[in-house]
Formats: sequence, C-alpha cells, structure tokens
Amino acid sequence: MKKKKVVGMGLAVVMSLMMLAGCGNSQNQNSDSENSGAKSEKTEEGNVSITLLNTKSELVDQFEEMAEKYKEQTGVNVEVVFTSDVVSTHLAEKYASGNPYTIMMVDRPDVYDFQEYLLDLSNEDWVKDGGATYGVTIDDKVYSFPMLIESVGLLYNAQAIEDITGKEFVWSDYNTPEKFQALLEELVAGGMEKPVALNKDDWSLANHFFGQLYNQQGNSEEGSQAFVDSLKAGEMSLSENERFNSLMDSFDMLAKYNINGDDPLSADYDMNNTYFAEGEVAFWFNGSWATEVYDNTDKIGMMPLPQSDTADGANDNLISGASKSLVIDQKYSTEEQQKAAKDFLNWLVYDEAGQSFMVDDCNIIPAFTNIEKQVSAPLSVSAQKFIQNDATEYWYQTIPGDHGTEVGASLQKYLGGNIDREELAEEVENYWKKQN
Amino acid sequence: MKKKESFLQKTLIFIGFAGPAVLCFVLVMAIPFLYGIYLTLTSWNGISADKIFVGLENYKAIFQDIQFWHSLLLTILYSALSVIFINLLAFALAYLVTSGIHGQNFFRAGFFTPNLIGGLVLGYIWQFVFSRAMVSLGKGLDIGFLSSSWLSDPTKALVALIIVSVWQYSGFMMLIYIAGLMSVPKELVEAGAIDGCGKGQTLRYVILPQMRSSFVICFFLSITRCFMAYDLNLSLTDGGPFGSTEMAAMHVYQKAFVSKDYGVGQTEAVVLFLICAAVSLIQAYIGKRNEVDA
Repeated sequence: MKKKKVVGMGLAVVMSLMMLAGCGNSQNQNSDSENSGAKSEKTEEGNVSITLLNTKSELVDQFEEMAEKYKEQTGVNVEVVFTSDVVSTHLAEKYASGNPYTIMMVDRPDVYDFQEYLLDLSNEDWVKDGGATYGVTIDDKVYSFPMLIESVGLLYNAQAIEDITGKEFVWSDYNTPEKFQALLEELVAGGMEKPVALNKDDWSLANHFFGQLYNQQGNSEEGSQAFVDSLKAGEMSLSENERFNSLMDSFDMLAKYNINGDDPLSADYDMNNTYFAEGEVAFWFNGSWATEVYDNTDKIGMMPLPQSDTADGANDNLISGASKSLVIDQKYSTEEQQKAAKDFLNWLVYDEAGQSFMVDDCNIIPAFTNIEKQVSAPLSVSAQKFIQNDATEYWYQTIPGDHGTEVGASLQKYLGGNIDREELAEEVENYWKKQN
Repeated sequence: MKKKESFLQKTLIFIGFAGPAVLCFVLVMAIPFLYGIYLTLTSWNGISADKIFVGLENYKAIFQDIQFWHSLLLTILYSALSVIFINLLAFALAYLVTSGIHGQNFFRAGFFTPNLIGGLVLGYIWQFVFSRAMVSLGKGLDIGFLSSSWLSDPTKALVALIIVSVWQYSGFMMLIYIAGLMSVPKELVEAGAIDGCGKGQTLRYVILPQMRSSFVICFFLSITRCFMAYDLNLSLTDGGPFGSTEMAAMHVYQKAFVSKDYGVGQTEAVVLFLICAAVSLIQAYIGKRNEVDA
C-alpha cells in the first residue's frame, strides 16, 4: 500500500514538473523573440531567416517558388505564410501574441492602424522610383512598399460579346449608360439571357462598387477625404448627391441584367467567375485580380462603369491604386531580419529575378518607374493601358475596416429589394456619422 | 492506514493530484479571463501597444450598441429553439436505438457521425445544400419554398442555422441519453410491467424520472454550445443576409477585431458570459433539486 502511494506521488510530481518545464520553455522562446537585436535567429547554414505574410490567394504558388529561388540566389531563407483571414484581424492577433511576421502584405488602411510597429522606409532607393507616389506616407515618412497596382471596374468578355454582335468590341463605344444598355439589350436579343454577373460579397458591393462614390470626387486624395469628412460630419445628403444617384442608376441597370437576378443574394463568387470565364455572361463588376478567367479566351479586358454623371472623367478613367503593400515589422524583428527584409524589397525592384517574379510570374502591374517589363495577362494589360495613358481615377482606400460588413449589409438589403434608395442613403449616412 | 493525516500531508496530496489541473486551469482560463476583464476598462483598439484606462465607459457604450442587443435576442431565440429540438430529437433517437431494433449499433454510429465533422466544414457543406442543391431540387420539381436560397432570406436563414445545429448536436446528446436509458435498473421496469404499465406509462412514470441527470447534462451542454455558437454561424451564413443572422459571439468578434473597438467588444463578451453562466446555473439548480437518487 505504502509503495503504491509513493509511486503515485512520484508520478504526479514528475508530471507536474514536466508541465512546468514545458511552460518554462515556451516562456524562454517568448523572451528570445522579445529580446530583439540582442540575438538573431539563424538557420543551420548561418543565414538570416525571415518570414513573409502573403495575403493574396491567387499568388500562393508563385510566392512559394520565389522563396526557393531567393534562397538559392542570396542564401536568405524566406518563409512564406499565407492567410485568407481579414488582414488586420490576423495581424492584430499576431501582434497581441507578440509573434508577427518580418514582412507583411497588408491593405492600405492597415498601414495607418499598425504604424507604431512598422519600420520607416523613407531612405530606401525605391522611394524615388515610384514608392513615394503609391506608398503610404505618414508624417513625411514612407512606411509601405507598394506591392501591386490593381484596378476596379467592369470586366468584359469581348469574345462572348463579339460572338453575338458579330463586330469588334471596343469599350469606348459603349461608355455611356444609354449605349451600354442598348448593348445589353442586343446581347439579350442574341440569346444571352442575363449578360451581367454581380457579386453579393460585402467587399465587392461596399468597398468596390459603392467605393466609387468616394473615389470619384475630384480624382484626388484631398477630394475624396473632403467628401468622406462631410459624410462623417453629417453634412452630406446622399439622396440629393449626383454621384450617388448616378452610381445607383448604373447599379440598378446591372442588377436588372444580373444572372443571379431572381435571388441575387445567393450569388457565389466562384460561380460568377465561371459564368464570366465561360462567356455565359459578358460583364462582371470586379477587378484586375480576377486572373482565373482565361479558360476560353484571352479577349478579356476592363472598362470603367458607364454612368450618367461624367464629372471627373468617370466613364473614361479606370480606378487604380496600390491595393496591397508590403510593410516591415520593427518591434519584434531583429536588426538582421530588418536588414534582410529591406534587401528583399530592393531585390524585388532592382534585381532582374525580382522584377521577373512580380511581372512575369505574378502578373503584377508594378508601381515602380524603373521596371520596364510589360505584363502579359490580358486583364493586367488592359489596366496597364489606362495607367500608362494616365487615364486613372484615384482609389480612396482609407475606409474603416467595418465599412465592408456594415455598408455591405445595407447594399445587400438594397440588392435583395428589402429597402429602397432613400433608405439605403440613410443607412450609409448613419454609418458614417458613427465613425467620429 | 487509519492514522490521521496532518494538514501538511493533506496539502501535499492535494497539490500532487489536483495541482497540475489547477495550474492548467489558472494558466489558460483564469488568467486570460481576469485579463479580459481588465481590458473592458480600457479603450484599446486591439492593435496598439498602449491601453488607455477609461473606467466604466465601455459598460455605458454597450447600452448604445443596438446591434448587440439585437444579436443577443437573436441568440436567445436561436438557443431556445435549438435546445428544445436537439433534446427532443436526441431522446427520440436514443429511445429508438435502445429499443432493440435491427442494426441499432449501425444507427447509433450513423447518428453520431455529424458530431465528428467540425462546425466550419459542416457549415460549408450545408451552405451548398441550402443555396445550390435545394434550389435545383425546388426549381426542378417546382416547389415554391425551395426554389430560392434559404440563406438569402433572414427568417429562413435562421431556420437553416437551427436545422444544422440540431442535426450536428443531437447525435452527441443521443449518446448521453443512451447511457441514461441503459442505466435505468431493469427490475424497476419489470416491476412496472408486472403492475400493468403500458409502454407509454413505463416511459412516463418509470424511465423519465430515473433519467433526470441525463437531462440536466444535455440541457447544460446544448445551452452553452448554442449561446457560444460561432463557427457554424460564420461558415453557414456569415451573419448574412445583410447582417440579420449575426449572433452574439460573432458580433463580439466583429466589434473587437473588425470595427477595432476591442474594449467594447470585450465588455460585450463579459455580458454574454454573465448571461450564459446565469442561465446554466439556474437550469442546473432546478434540474438537480428534484433529482432522484438512484
């Protein structure tokens, strides 16, 4: 009996010791990473190892391959991690646990939110070559590296259109609501019952479609900011605003010809993608990131949404901006890691292999003036034409994080026919008033 | 071994056996919980390194957050309906598979399986069922209420959530009821039969009173699970259509991480905890009070 008791006690003690040891270890690891600068994380070969957060799902494979090539070329180990979470949420969790990445691909508003943790990149070479134009500058310091330029607008499948109309499709022939609607009618008469695909996702409805309201305000950051400020102050009556009505008129037109028409809220992004790629619909309101649409044809391009209010060249200019940026963590990364991260950014801009990764592999429209490579994916080519012709519209991306869910919900109600335009205007106005 | 143990010995034994569990509990439950309560007193945005102390401001703020109260009401409605249907179905299934029908082990395994699939996966599967499979069926056979996606109508989306939760949890609760049914002493049932009880009477007057503890456990588990529902909510409806099925746990997450209002979100989480704890305690108390000591 006594013996059993001793064995039992012994086991219990061993178990608790093991647990304490386990905790102890993890605490040690934590303090290691907190002691940034003092120690550096080294791989077996003695090289610096950095982590990179990729947040673009269509570039997962490209980033993995690039990391291998980069290690061969420079010896620096880049560990690529992908997340499909909302970026700011994911990073908030990572920072709360003191374990962020060295380089992070973030959306534009995140740069402002996380600014206190980010490395000042003002003295990098690439700032002069376009980084200052498209990067985020706060208090005269550049904090972000513009990874890619993207455009938002109406995607067209020219092949599908030409198959019905029998003549070459030139988007500028149809850039007013009247001409555009006539084309839609022609397509319907030609057998394409519903020529438009409309997403129901809140980011697409609220941040991209409705976002045009904030973008097309004088084609400048100041114009957009002033407009948003007047919304916040409650001084803007949307139902009397010409841009709002012009946009929603066009929205109604798209909704009328929407392939998900009788049940628009059951739309599915992947299904819309398939409809568009297979030419079942001719138009899809989306952006230049939709790279899986070349199944049947390469005759695919982008155009601005035709509207009745033509101020700011709304029907000629394509909304474009740096939608994803790279930022470097300065709080938890060692100095070697920060240095390696800066080298990596330089490699992207100035090394042949880096440029090739961005332009050839990822089909990114680069933000840097020194890169002369041309993109090859038809959508990017189409968007790049607008950019090179200076026919772009400012893209206001500093909208709050919950704009998507809240204004998105209002737009879903509108799309589903649960509220009318007056009520939509009121809900959006109320949302902005809460943002003070 | 009759010798009386000293206080020190008792303490040592307690630490030896309960120590590791207590340590785990303190590290992963108690400390985060207390830290969470501290955060309700700050206006932290979830990102910044400094957390500004604001006192009880957040507790005032949640009274102005109408959406939170809306989502809380919705959660209560959802939980009440789910708990009733989960337990009705679970008990019926348990009674069925202990009644000696052919292949009852196969059925037990079958009914339990949904519980083995994670809530997220399950949500995506059912999303397909509700918005594609059922719609095709409804259109093909011309059944009006199936021909548009249930997930694009607020009421039907809530019904869809309840159906899937019932389907998911009833198998698990069934297991507990099976255990309860099997532990009802045979001689009591036989005695009842001798006294002339029919099947229904045996169930009502002999079996059910013996199974009170199973009911207490099942109600407790289903109530807490339904109140905290998040994964299914996220993957099946994602709060949609237009935010109408956003339940309390999801609202807390949205507030804390998407609207970047961590203090308010955390405060709402504490309120949710209090409600949940109160409901569970009352339910367990009422259930225990009349329990038959078998």
